[in-house]
Amino acid sequence: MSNISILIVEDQAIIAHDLASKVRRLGYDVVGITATGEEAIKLARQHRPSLVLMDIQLDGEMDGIAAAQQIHRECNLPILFLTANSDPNTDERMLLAGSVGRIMKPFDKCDISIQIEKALTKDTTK
Amino acid sequence: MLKEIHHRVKNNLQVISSLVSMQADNLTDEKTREEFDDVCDRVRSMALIHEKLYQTDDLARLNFADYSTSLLHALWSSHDILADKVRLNLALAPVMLTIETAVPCGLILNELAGNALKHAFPNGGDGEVTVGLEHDAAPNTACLWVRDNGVGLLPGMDWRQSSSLGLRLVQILAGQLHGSVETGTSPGAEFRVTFPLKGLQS
Repeated sequence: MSNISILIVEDQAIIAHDLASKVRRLGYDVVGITATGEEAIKLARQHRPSLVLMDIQLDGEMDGIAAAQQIHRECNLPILFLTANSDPNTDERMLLAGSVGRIMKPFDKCDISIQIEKALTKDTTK
Repeated sequence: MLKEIHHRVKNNLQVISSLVSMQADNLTDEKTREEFDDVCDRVRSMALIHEKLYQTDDLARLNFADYSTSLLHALWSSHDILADKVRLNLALAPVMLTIETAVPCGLILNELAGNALKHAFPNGGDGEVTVGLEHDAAPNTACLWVRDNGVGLLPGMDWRQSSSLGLRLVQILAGQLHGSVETGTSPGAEFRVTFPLKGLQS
């Protein structure tokens, strides 16, 4: 088992569990799964994962970008966004929130593997 | 409002893809697992239509050449072991399609290009797949074609009688588009799907 740990923040439970299963099969440790930005911040403080996989639309008051900004500011963790669509405004907000990449939905095992590896490499070369 | 709908449809297609993928996790037979992966590829071809429409100003028509480029790169990326040996060439003219045409056309492209990638080079040999899109203004038709330099169709084979779901889908969806399918076999295989463009499409 790798010592790389990943936090999954996704409001659709089925997507979150599919993602967790794929991430584990790639040999990474999943330290938590949550549907809200507020809980994500708590879990990030508690576990200090190597990487956060963050959806943009979440349950609760906070969206994924706001949650990512706070996690990045407080814990300096890299964020890999999960997005169904992209537009320039969202892309800019993601960059300001510590984005090291994104996984477009629908994703498959290869997308996840490539993007996680890229994100971890990017972060360690900062 | 329409933009939000495209976003939600795409998210729901991800849920469907995840359900299929989770079901496939329980399978031990590799061939059956590949069939589930094919379903995920088909769902992705539909989801990408909504992503491209979401990015347009009028939310009604998309540039199918741009869509095809994204779809084919995603397909090659998700079959990376095969794709390393099979070069992808694109010859795509800009053709604007509405969602009613783009969805079946995207599924046809997924099947034909996926078939070429997975079956044209059975012994792991090097090869090329070329995908083209042409617009003929006079009868206002578009032609989507996929050509490879692999083993080709079996001599005497009538692809319309094939038990392959992918080829059946090509036939069914070309019919939905009021289009026609022609094949060529030398060298490799070639499929040409020609269909009329109506209304806002060009």
